[in-house]
Amino acid sequence: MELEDKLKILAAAARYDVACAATGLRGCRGRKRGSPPLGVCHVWAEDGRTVSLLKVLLTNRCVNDCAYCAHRSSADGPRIGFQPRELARLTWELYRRNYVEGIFLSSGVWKCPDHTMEMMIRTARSLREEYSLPGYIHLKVIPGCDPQLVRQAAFYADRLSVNIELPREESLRHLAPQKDFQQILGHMALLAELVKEGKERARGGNPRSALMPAGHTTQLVVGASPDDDLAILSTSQRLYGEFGLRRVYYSAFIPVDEDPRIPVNARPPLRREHRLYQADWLIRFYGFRAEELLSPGKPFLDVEVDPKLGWALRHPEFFPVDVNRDSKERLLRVPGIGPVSARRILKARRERTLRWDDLPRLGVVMKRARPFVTCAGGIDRDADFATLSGWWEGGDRERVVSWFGGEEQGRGAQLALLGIEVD
Amino acid sequence: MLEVLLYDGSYPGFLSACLNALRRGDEEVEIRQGEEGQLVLGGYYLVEAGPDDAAKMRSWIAEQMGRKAERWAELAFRSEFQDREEALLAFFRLGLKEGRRWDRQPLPPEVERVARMARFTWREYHRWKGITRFSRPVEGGRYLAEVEPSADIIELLAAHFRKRMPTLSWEIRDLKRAKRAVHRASYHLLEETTERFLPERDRAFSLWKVYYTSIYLPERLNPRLKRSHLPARYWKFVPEYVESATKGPVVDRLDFDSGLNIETKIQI
Repeated sequence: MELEDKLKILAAAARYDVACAATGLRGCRGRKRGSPPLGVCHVWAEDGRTVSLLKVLLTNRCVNDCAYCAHRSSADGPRIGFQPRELARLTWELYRRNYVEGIFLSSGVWKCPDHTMEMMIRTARSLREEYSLPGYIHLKVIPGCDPQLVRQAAFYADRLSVNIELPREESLRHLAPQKDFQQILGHMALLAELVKEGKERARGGNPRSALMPAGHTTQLVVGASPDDDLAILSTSQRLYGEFGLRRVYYSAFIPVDEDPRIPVNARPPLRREHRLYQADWLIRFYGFRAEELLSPGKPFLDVEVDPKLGWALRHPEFFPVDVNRDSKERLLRVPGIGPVSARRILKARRERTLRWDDLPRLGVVMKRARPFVTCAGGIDRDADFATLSGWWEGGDRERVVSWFGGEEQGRGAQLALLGIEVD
Repeated sequence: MLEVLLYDGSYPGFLSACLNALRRGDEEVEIRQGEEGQLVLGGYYLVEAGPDDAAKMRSWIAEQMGRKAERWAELAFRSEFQDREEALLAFFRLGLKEGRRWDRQPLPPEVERVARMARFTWREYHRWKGITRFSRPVEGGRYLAEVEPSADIIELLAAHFRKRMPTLSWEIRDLKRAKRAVHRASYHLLEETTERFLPERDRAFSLWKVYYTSIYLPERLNPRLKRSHLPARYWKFVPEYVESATKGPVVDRLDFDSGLNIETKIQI
């Protein structure tokens, strides 16, 4: 088969994995390589997602029969694979023309996990040793492979990841019977150890021996199982806490084939995926906990408003927050105030008392923050949080949404970061 | 009386002029890019781009205002905004008066102006790091790229690619400013040029095109998001965009709630 044909099939098969960032190297004292810390986007695909890496499968041959997967063993279609050196050369050709920053390599399970992982490592080794690729390498860990192979992969890769796919053990057993939830967690624990070891090596003055300096990540599929948002976010929270993951990616499930085990979705739950990313952001950077955002009685995130505004409307007792006195942790709970504007507020108020006019200049999104804060100008009587909260809790949600000028007000930059557009 | 200091258009020349202006204390001074011919007019002085003065000014900025100010100043100068000289001189005067307190919050108006210019250059640099495309190798195995950035960023780009492709020979030409950066494994050169070359489409490009057309998910189609990431004025520099744009119907809009794709033709 021609290289073009292989590329077409194996790139299309890999597109369901949402991660494609060549990032995470900021502040790493790891191997001195060519990828800048902030990552570079070379092009944006027709679906608006960034293209930084050559994202392909090594092969779409697979012994597993996961219900949600396009290349599961029971699916039809041609089965092919790259040779490691062939794929390394292709990556190098695209890298030196500045089409990509490197490679994101995943794979079906070809023969057995160890064999597949060895082939992936050979590809990475070829890139580093034959082509001296200074770019970014992200390798997937094949669940069930030997820990020694994971260690080898960590030596060549900037980032490793193992996909947990579903938030609960029972869900994974139901949809992907050959995958073992505990084994995947075991791989994550090993990756966390390797990251730690890599940091120590780099600190010890041998930057070339740093392991996977961009850390490790995972992906959760949204909508392939009946799991609610609370289960998904609780799992993410646990993974961040226990294994120090850099990112959890959420992928709205797109049915590729009919299977009695998966729900019939007319369309991918893009908005739900979007809300989960927002909530994930709140957990990582704003000090929220999953159980604050959701509860067993309310296990799904609000669709109409973002999770932070939803939380604020349900907790009128927390407000108003005084921008001249309250702590950073309290400021971060205010819709329209993010980590950057909170930091600026703390810096600015050391010198003088803040007034309403100062807040937009510090980056506060006034349309969202106004009802929830007080400053030297007192409370804004036209924007009373208790009234808004009353409307919300009383079921008059449209009125609240329209008060805030449409629910997407002021979130352009965040949406762009999340790779999502809302009309 | 207003005095005008002329400099040669280079950053070292500008820094020399700034040093001269700061030494004049509270005198009303304006800095402009200009030539010797303008000296016939009264109140115009030509400032030579002395390396010593430029170095002195640089170290003054670093010591008095900090490294961040030094970085912002250079980025703001590279923005090529018409009022950059005035904005930067006001910025340095603020530094003279307040030292490192220039970046207090909220930012003083003099700093906001410079920050806006620096952000513009940074964004332009960040975009071009991604969309600079090298052709197949030409004479001597050199890879060539042509760029037309809106800010003077070729030195920044060259530094980026020197790190990214240290073992390859390459050349980047800035068509707007008639400059090129040439890199071989052993030396690096920045010089003026007006040469053009026509990039040829080779196998790597056709493989890239195959890749680009295979990766998007029709269920997530969202060209508006694509446009918001990379405004249409850059598309002519991205070959795969040019080719996809000439193929006709492009889906313009995704109804987010329903997941239905509404097809309309858009003009590129």
